[in-house]
Amino acid sequence: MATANRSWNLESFLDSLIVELDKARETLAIKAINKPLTYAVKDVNLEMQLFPSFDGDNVSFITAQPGQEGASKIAIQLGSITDQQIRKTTKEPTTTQDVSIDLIDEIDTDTKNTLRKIGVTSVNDLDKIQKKNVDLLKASNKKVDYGKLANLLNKARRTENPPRVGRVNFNISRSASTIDVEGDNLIFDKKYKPVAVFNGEMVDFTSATKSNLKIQIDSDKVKDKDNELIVISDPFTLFKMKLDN
Amino acid sequence: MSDYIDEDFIEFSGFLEEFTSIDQYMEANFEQQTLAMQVEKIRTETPCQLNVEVDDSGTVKIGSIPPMYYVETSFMPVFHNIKINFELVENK
Repeated sequence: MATANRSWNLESFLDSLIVELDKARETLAIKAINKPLTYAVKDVNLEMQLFPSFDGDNVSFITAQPGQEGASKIAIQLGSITDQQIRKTTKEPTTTQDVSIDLIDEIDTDTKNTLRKIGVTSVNDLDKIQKKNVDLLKASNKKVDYGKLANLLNKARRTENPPRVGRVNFNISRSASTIDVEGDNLIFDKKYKPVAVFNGEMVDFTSATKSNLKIQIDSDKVKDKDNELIVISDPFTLFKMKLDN
Repeated sequence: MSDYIDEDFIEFSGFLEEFTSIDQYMEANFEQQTLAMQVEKIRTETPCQLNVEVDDSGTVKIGSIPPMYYVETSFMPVFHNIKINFELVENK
């Protein structure tokens, strides 16, 4: 239940303020359907009497209550902004192929906060930083180690995009026999070389892509029932299939 | 219906909408002629009372109203200040 007179952080307050402004704009847009002229909110400037507090990490605010003196004044100015300006000045939202660091339980809150302060909110952000050879240990004041974090993040990204096997075919011929595996996210990160084991023996790949795997096999090793194929596509993913020829 | 604890306050969006609920034209009749005027811009600055509520997930709700009472009391309510610019837009 919502309670008055509790402290809030600026981000939540602004979120709420913007939602309210959007609501007002939507109402005005509906009004515009029937009226040739309407009024649009050009800008809003809100000056508030507040008491800020700082707990060492975050600043929070509490609205001044009747009878309280000595409050700080904070002014928030919201102007209208075009969609083009938004695109220019904001980061692209996290895509389905990416993972927001907020969703990864293994990363503690301190590390998440440190990363956010240096502008890292997703796994892709971290990749970009690594590509530019930024020393994360220095940038985060010795709080975040890239190696440890990258593993956690890659694991999380893989969990979000699990492999899906659609169809498996045996192609048996005298010259070269293969197993074709069709599906999605079979290979997720090309950085890692996939490994396959067929009926207990290591086998080679003819080709390995996101949607298709072609695995070379020895036709003599193929049984009628219960063939076992294990594919390890990266350090976080292993999938095992029981196949009947 | 507002789900605020304090029913005296209205949602902030409602507060903004109230300002724009004005008639489109102001008309005056003079002999056989009608003179019409329209408001192009509204610039308003008003003290207001705010009711900022926070739920357990940290989500903030903002309620606001213009000053309710004009009588001076020993504990005066806190007045924040809000400036809003509205502009007329023509809908094509």
